[in-house]
Amino acid sequence: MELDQLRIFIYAQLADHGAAPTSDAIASHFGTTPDDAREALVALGKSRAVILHPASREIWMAAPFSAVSTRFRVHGARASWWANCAWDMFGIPAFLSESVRIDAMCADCNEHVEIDVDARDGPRSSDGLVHILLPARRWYDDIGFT
Amino acid sequence: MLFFRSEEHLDAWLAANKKPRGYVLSLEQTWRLSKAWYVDRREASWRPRAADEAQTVLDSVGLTDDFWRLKP
Repeated sequence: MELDQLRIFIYAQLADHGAAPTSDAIASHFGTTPDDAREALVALGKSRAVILHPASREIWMAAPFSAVSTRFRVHGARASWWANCAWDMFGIPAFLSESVRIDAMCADCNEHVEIDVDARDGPRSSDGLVHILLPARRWYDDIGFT
Repeated sequence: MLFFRSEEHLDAWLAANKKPRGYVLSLEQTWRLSKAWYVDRREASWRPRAADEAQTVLDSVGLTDDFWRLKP
């Protein structure tokens, strides 16, 4: 299995369906075994193209998408997606070149804030801010926390 | 990388969680960063950026101070 083809398949599934394929689904698509699919995912993970969940070893993140629910939901015309973080909630419309509505939860009060994003011009409002706790050199110390 | 409704909510969260203040981006700044970061992610030839390449992207959207240095 070519890793570039695997990466493209993962992103296509995420973009079209809002969910990452399981290793079983990857095996079925490429006509291989689940063990081979898991091995390919590990190889893709080593290149940081995807990050595997530490427990399940299935896809956890394929930036900007998250395979698990987060505080950042992005709604498009064809699907809805979870974003990994406040940076990635804008990464999804940037990646897809699609206008979206973001539903972001304030980390302090858990209130939901809707942010409309135009694919070309960006956010239509300026209400809210993004806080980055760790300096860039520490981002990969613990990517889940970051 | 968390979202807050306002500076007041950020300050309350930092105090409650005993965290130091990091770096604050406006939504417009975050959008520009995301566009620059993900512009080529769909390409078949995409590869994870080396630190120097990633630094160039950060620099290109004006994030040039020490907080944004990927290497010490």
